[in-house]
Amino acid sequence: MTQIAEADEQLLLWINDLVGEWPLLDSLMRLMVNDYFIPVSLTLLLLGLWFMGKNRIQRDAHQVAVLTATASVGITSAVVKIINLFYDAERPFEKMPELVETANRIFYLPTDPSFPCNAAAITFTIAAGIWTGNRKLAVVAFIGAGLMSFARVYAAVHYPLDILGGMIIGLICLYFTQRVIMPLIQPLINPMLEIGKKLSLA
Amino acid sequence: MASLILEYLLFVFAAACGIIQLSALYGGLKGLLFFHNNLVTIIVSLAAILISYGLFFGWDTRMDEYIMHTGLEGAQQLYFSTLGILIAVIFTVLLSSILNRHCAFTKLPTNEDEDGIEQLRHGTYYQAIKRSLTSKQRKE
Repeated sequence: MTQIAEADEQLLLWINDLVGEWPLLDSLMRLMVNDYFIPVSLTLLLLGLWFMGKNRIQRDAHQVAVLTATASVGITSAVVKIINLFYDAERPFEKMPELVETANRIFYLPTDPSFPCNAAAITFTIAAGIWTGNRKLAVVAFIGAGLMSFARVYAAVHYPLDILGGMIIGLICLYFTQRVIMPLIQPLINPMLEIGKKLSLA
Repeated sequence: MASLILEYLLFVFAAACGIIQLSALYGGLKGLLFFHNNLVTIIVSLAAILISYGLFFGWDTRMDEYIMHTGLEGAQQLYFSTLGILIAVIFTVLLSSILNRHCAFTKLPTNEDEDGIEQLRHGTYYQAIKRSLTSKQRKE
């Protein structure tokens, strides 16, 4: 266990060592790490997915994927909050104050627990939701989720294991939503889609 | 903070309009398009997306003043991005209905299998919603 934690810390330090080496990489990471760029982009991908089916069958599959991803975001957020209640893991810059300067250069210093990475959990669950409807678009979403996650380690606000934990939680929540929650709430979704069809928006 | 909210709303609105145009073009929903030329649609949509991203993330010192700090809380972000997208959808259906009202393609098929959003392949949103309402009245 200690060896895993040490390897996790070593990987973080190795990645964080890149801060300040290339100004262009720093600028890119500042863009990827923030709370707006990737989350808004993924939301816009979901919006695009809603309208981009070539026929009724494909459009229905896309719209179910959008609803699944949206429901999974809610469930993932709840799971992360519950874990945070019971496990308050220190951020890398809290454990190693010498990283505060590099963290501040790329991002702000978050105050919530480090494990699991909320951003990774949410972005990966959206990307996996898109995967259930359109695999080509999902590749773009996974790249975005990966970049945001990498940027969080680059800025020393998360350990790599926080990212891995967040990613696994996001993917499990999506699977759970798709297999258990969606069939359960189907009686609610069908009338909503019918209203959407009446309004010519679904 | 109020200016950040307004700018965030405008950014999401403009980018969402561009995304809707591109996906409507890909999905063949002619009734939602603002332009009849595919190339013009692609260029204008990409311009709307890139300019809105460029202005929001690149403008002045916004990155340092707000974005690198919490700026908007998660719930605020969710609320305003949903609002921005909703306004973009309403704007798109209204403007496309006005711009395409006299176009040759705007003849809804009599095929009853094509319901909901599929009707926008052949007609404007206004025509589709009108048909939905009148067919409901006929059934009654």
